[in-house]
Amino acid sequence: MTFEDEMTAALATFMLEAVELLSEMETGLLALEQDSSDLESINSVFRAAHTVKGSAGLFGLDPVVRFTHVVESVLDRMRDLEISATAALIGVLLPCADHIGDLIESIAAGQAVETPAQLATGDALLARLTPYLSAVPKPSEELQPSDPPPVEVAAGDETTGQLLHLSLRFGVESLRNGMDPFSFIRYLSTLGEVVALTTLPDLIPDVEEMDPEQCYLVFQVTFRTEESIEAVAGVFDFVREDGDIRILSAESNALEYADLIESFGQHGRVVAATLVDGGAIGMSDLRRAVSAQGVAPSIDVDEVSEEPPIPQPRSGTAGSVVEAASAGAGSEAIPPEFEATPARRATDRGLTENQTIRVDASRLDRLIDAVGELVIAGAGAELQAALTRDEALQAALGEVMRLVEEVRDGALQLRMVPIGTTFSRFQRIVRDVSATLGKDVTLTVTGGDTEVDKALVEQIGDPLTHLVRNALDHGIESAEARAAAGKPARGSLRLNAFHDSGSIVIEVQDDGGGIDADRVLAKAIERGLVEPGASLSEKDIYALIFEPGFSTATTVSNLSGRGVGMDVVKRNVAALRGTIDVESRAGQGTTLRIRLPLTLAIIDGFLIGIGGATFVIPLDRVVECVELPAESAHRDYMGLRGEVLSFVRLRSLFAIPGERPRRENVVVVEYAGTKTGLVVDALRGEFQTVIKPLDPMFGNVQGIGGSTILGNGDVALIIDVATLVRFAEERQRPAQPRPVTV
Amino acid sequence: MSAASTTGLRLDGDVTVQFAAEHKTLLLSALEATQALELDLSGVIELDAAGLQLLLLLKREAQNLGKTVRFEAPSGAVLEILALARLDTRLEPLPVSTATQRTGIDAQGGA
Repeated sequence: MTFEDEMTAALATFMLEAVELLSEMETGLLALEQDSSDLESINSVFRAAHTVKGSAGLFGLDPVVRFTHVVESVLDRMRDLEISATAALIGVLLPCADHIGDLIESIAAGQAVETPAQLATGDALLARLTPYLSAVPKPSEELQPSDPPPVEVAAGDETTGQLLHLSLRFGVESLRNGMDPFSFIRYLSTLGEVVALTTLPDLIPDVEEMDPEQCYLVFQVTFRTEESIEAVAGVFDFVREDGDIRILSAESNALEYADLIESFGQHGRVVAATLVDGGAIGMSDLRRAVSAQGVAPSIDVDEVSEEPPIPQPRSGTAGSVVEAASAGAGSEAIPPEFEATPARRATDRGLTENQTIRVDASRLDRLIDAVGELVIAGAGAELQAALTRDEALQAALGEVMRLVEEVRDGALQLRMVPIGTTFSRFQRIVRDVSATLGKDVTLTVTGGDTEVDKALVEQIGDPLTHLVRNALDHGIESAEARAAAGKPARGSLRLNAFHDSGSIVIEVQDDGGGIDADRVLAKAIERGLVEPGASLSEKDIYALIFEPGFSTATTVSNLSGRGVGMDVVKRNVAALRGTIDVESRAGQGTTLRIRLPLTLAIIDGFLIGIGGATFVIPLDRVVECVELPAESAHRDYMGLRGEVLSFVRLRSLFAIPGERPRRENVVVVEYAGTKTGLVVDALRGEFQTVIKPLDPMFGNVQGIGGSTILGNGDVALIIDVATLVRFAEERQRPAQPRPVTV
Repeated sequence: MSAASTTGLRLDGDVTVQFAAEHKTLLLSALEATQALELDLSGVIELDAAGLQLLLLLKREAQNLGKTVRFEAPSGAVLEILALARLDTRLEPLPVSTATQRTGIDAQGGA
């Protein structure tokens, strides 16, 4: 099954589970309606929402996650008895459950983004939920009951990150162009916390002049984020040109602040107040900046000057800006965050993702492909140049080729992504799995920014998930066992990644009991994997856990009962041309180390020649090379150190014309534990190979995995060892060769 | 210009840029015809920045004319936009200090 198939299957399972969970949620809510103090029901409702959100997160169903997150936050407060399950609240939560179901259902039907109707429903429900989210006392001022209450969702960890001040003046035509400022504000709040926001209506012209389709609203936002200033700026890429979007940070030159204030003319003092309120700039700094520049924004204070608390000099000096700002800052509670609601347009979402551009992977492949062609063409040109004996031409071409190689390396680099995206989903898995197991485990992730080929990142997720589950299930002991061993009750799991000599190494490390070598060996002997009495090194013994059908788990928990063993992990890793090894210390823990090539697009190849053709065998499949013994000249097997080795004659397999040379060579390759020989004419040594996929037209050609371009511009086919090994095996089966003595 | 003391008006559906021109005429003529406008927002399905700035314009115009506008029963969509814009249902800024500065001016136009 391909990775995509597996994802589809897993998604189908999730849909089914989600339906069950939502009905559980409904049941719980209905029970709460009868008895609002029923803790059991509160917990079950929370768990259901929590699990739906978690699983939806694994599948990247962002609309579901975002909406359910808010629901979960409300339920969390309910669980903490901060709010009670009133009939009114349940009346909101029930349709919320329905809405989640609706979202999931439409995803099951293949719909990628929310419909406008769903967005409207979602927004309406979120608005109804907001009163239940606030942990902050309502402003005591004469707010009417129906005021949108302060909202706090992702409470707790919002104190980190930098404070930015955003001044958002959208272009007058932005509304006509379909750019609703609120879409951007919504999207912005997915990148951090909107600490404060002021909507300035003052720039709306008089009734007669006001064009209702033009945008006059201006927003001043104090924003706390862990993203870079560039990432935040990226949100406004679409509107920057037409509007006046300014993003200032603590590092910004104070004059930039002064300039910003001045740019608002008579409204400068309101802007200054928002700057100081949010803490984007200190009062004294602002004062200094303003006086340094001698800016004297003309401030019209008429409208507010009757209000006593603020000194209001009519003159509108720079000082008044600061005074007004400080007065504003002193009395104002920082309003809490408003949780992001789903971005309206898909484009909003695609705007910034760590300040990257998303490119269709197939486009990248085409680029790499084209670069490959370029190498061929270049080599051809070089050959022609060599014939002319024109040294200047040759030198020029040499420079071109150097650049071509640079481009090739750059193109391959484009496929590299940080592995952290894969790691991040493990927080949820660890949380959920350890909860299921009744264990307390923290996950530490390091090296998340280590870059690796995109295709690898996608394919390593499953094996890694299994290793993590396995470490939680079998590695880390129960709290009692840990206490008995004098360890902290809370287990620790570490995911680490780093580059090491052309490979990426991923470690899954637990501080559990370690692997019991004696038990592994006993089991292996019992299973017939090892001869009794064989003396194995510790490393060899640990390697046994990757043998098919091996499991030391005395009890099969529901986690390990998934039919996936460590052997599958090993096979998956091997399929990515990687290796896995184990390090374990009794009582101290186990480290599983996966080592993968950095990219699937480059392999170390072993060049072989048959007639005039050159082939590439992936070097890591090559075990050894031997000369074809004379006695095997007319049969398809040979003796190799007392064992029978069957082989495949590539010349006849690929129907390559020409005489067989006097001496032939056998390249011994191994796949999945089976060795096979490939008979070739010549061995031509190692070569770093850029894999070019075969044209789909040749998709059904067996035994060839791709092509590459050699240094001289020739094309060489890459041999698919797995297919050939299988081919050799199947050929043997009808007539099992009798044991031969050699 | 008749001057009924209080007039109710209900906005339905999308109060967005598509209908902004229409709504501007509707709202301002309604305001013109009354001393106190009660705008029922319970039927608003979507509100965007164009809609919000129209409401803000209406409020300011009422102030200028010494009239009142009240926004009644805002729908979820309206509340959501107000929350994003940090405005209360009188379209006053939510942060308290700023609200205090303007207390008394309100939509009642210095009454």
